[in-house]
Amino acid sequence: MIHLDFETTRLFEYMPKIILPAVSATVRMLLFSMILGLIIGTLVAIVLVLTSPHGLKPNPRVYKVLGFIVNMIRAFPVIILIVAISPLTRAIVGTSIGEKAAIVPLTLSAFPVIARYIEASILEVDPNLILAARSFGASDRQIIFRVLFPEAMHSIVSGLTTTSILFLGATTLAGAVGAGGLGAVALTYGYQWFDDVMMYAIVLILFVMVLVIQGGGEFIYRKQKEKGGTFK
Amino acid sequence: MISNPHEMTRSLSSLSDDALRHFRKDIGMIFQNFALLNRKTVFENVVLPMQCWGYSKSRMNAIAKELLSLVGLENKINAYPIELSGGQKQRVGIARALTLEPKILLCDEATSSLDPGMTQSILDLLRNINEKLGLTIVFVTHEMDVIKLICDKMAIIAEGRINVSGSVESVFLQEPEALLELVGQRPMDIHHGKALVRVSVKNENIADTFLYEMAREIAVPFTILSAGIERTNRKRFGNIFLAVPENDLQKVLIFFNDRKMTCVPHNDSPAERSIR
Repeated sequence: MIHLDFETTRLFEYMPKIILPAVSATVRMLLFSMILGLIIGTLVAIVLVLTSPHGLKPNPRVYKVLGFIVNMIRAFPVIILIVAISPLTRAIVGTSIGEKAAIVPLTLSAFPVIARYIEASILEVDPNLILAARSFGASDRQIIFRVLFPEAMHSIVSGLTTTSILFLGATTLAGAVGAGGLGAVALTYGYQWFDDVMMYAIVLILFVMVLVIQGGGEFIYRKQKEKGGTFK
Repeated sequence: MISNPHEMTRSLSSLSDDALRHFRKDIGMIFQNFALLNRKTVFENVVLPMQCWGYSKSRMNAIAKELLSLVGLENKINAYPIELSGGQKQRVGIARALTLEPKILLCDEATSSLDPGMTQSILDLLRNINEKLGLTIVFVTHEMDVIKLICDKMAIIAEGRINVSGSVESVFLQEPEALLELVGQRPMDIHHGKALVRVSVKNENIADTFLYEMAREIAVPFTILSAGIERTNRKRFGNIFLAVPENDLQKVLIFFNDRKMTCVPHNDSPAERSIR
């Protein structure tokens, strides 16, 4: 049974000095890991699309090796990745604990997911468009940036929305191992201090964040899709 | 159809990527499924090839507007492909294919997914472009009517080789094996003691009264087994199959030979033809 004791909760006391900073820490971790993950993921997706057996520059070796790496990283649970690569994290950001340190494993586990989403979205684009682009002499680069990405954008956006929500959960997980943010607050001040109101309040905040991400993603998706006219 | 065949004998596989891009620039191409970008407007689709070749904005604007009015879509400039009919989409495809001023327009089954009315209007447009811009059009199709309507010369390709080639009129009149295989064959019933001849009627003979004259001059009792006059963009022609008594065959052949018309005995036995 959930028993919410509003008499003894420190929720309101901690709101300004602990919870609000934790919200911004979570947002920062998510934002930076998503942006970095998107950059790396896009590059990896481009290489995958280029070198795939039906790609513009088929290269089975590169495709297989990169695909293998991507799959392997995806097999690591985020929490394991956080501890497993702590030496690497320390080498990159100088420390293996805290918010900055969490961004490294989060990015590392986000980019393969994003890369696969982008790859799948691009594979859905009508192959005849590539043929058409080739017919007027477009270079591989122009085919990727002027044809494939614009046509796949709506699908990429919806993939990114799902990934962001998935990794909102992962940032709270990172909180458990010293990264701070909402996860750490819910765990330490809520769960461990038996302050259920605090814990559920933070779940509620996370829920609102999910709604915001989903709503924003859907908004952009619809904008993209409307271009194709199918939403009318 | 190709203006300078020697230009085309270069081996494509020996070209570098960049040379290949330049080579492709000279060939416009339209497709059966139109291959338009669904997330871009008609205008954006048309300027895409020019963007790839770094044309200036004002030049792209001018060319796109001119071509879109050529294909009759000046009022759909900002529409998305999904709002267009199949025929309109193909018109966008044609405008896009013409932007780089190609020497050849390659149409890959360009009308195969369109209904007959749309097909007709696209073919009219292509013929118009062919005459206006003096552009060679290569049309890959399995629709015989399309060939008759728009083409001057034709070739039949089977198993990667050109089997038959020549003017549309001559190929359809000669009915080579490859053509019959393509269109399917009609069996022809012929009675014992009769010979079958094929009389090819060309455009210049179409108004002649040769059958009447044959009946009068050599008095051969004949039956028309099959006759069809094809109508192409500029010409009419067709084959007439006559059954004549076997002992009058020579007379008939000489009669048509004197008139400089093609008349040949048609040897296939009806049984063989219908089985195939």
